[in-house]
Amino acid sequence: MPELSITELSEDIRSAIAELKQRPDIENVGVVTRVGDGVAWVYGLAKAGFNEMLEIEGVDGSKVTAFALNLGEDEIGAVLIGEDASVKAGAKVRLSGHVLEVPVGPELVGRVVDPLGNPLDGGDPIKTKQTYRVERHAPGVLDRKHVHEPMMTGIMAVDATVPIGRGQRELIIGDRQTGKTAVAVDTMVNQAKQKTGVINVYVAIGQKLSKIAALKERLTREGVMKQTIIVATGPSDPAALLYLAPYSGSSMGEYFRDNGKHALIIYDDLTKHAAAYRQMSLLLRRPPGREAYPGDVFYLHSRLLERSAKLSDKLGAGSLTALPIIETQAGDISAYIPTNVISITDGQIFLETNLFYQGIRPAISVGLSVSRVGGDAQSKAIKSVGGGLKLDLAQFRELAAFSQFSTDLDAETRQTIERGQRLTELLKQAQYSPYSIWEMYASLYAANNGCFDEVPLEKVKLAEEAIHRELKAKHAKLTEELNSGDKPTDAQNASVLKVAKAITASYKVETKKTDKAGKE
Amino acid sequence: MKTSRTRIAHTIADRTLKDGLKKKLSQEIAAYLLSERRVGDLDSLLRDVQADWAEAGFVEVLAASAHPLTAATRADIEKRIKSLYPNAKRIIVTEAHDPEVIGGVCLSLANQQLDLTVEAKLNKFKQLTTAGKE
Repeated sequence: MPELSITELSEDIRSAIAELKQRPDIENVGVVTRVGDGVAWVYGLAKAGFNEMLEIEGVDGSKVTAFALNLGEDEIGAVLIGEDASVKAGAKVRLSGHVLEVPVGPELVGRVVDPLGNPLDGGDPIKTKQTYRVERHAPGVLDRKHVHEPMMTGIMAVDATVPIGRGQRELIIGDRQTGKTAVAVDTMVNQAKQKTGVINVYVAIGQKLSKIAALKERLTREGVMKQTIIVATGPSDPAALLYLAPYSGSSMGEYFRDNGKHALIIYDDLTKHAAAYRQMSLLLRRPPGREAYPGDVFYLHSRLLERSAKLSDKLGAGSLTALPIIETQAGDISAYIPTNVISITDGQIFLETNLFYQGIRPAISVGLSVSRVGGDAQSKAIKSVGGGLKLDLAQFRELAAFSQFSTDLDAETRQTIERGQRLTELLKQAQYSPYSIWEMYASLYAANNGCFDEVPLEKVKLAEEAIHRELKAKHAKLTEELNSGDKPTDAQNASVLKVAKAITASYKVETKKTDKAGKE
Repeated sequence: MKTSRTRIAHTIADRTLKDGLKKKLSQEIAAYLLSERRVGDLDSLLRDVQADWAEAGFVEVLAASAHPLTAATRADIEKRIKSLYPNAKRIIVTEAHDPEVIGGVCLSLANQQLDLTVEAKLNKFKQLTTAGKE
């Protein structure tokens, strides 16, 4: 038997590999056979990997990037990222040997970029120390921890009834023009106002560029842009870019998650993303299924949203919270893409057109909205006052519907309706004005204790503002303590109630005086 | 069609057992792995080759210990390997110095490991005493 050594064999093979790598290589070259609608069919690249980047020689000597999505026996289908006008049949195609990567890191914060990480804001080129693959695996079971820290949106209706935790995926769903983006943007604004340190990643998928520009301007004005990355794609961009945008944004957010920080990502919206993927799939001749979407449209979104997670302490306890947005048609949440994303996410905030036009903004339907994991993440202060809110509002809606048929109502029913009307009024909130924990707590505690019951409906918001002003001006220490989110003590409750009663009483008195004056 | 790693390992093991280690064979393997873009498989492939060698009677074992092995320990290791591979015609014990094992020895074969180190025993003890407390 000859003398053998696995170490020697290993060293021999490794040195041979290193030597071969230094030699001028024979390249694998393919040829474009057909091109059109952003898709190129390539012959002769049998060793191309799935999602591998290809370089196509353009007619003017430029290089167009594409990625292989269909790996057929005879040819491969690649989706072009750049302009397809310069790609002609017969053009040479080379394998890059790697899948698409995007720059990640703190250098991207405050910038508007495309899904490849190129700046779109006219600023300096972005030089990051690291790149991440666009397609990355979601953290495994042992890498995760349960969602337990609050991701405050600053919107009372959300934080009190459908609380969101860091690492959660909460869907924002509703018809067009119901304020879906407003809810997401307010959450971003709140991160800056409350100085949570959470990095926002806003992914605009096929959004009007004017809308993105306006958003950027507004975020800059609110001081939010300095902790925000905008990944922008417009309606005129190739479908491939729209398809890549959420994955790129997710990789950018994951950088912060993996480094023990917290990030919030907004996908605005996944309906357009699914439509872009449908376009690509149909052009790649993949069999259409329900609503002409390809068979793997569920996996398209599940693998994306699964990347948002709360990591274990061992991995730094960072988190990536996702707020995907879905646009419904005429409130139909049982369509294909909405049901898919509802089943993937950990709850949904449902916005209704009717409520929006009734002036209830944010137009959150408390009955249909749910948060499956956020309860553990809700701060104790809000939990103590928001517990019965959802039930109270549901009872009110039911009774309000009945009350339309009859004017003779018993005292108890009338009381429930009156309270419900005032709670609904309190939950109305202007855009870009998120509440702190103490503001939400004070409003809800006062309402639960009947302080607003005697205040005329149109003055409820004014009374609420007055309570906030009074507490801020004269009870700064109390507001600071309440803002910690801990369960308030009896003394703190008493102080809040005292202020609330005094203020609301003055509104009640004023009204009576005005009434008398009117009669005279 | 992609050739399975086990089949490639069988071929390498057969040729090396017949002709010994040759530079030409290493170059062929390197060229094949590069052209098939399977360089990442090299470590697993070498483990498979080692396992094939062991089955054929050539057993190579890596003994990690904190202190140099005594002749008695070596003899004991060879005896244990012989009981594991009764057909072994040649047993090569390669020593590796690893202070982290504290004491005892850890034997690594292609797809098998016999951990008789103090470190492993302490870990086991820690596991038993802290089970269910974290």
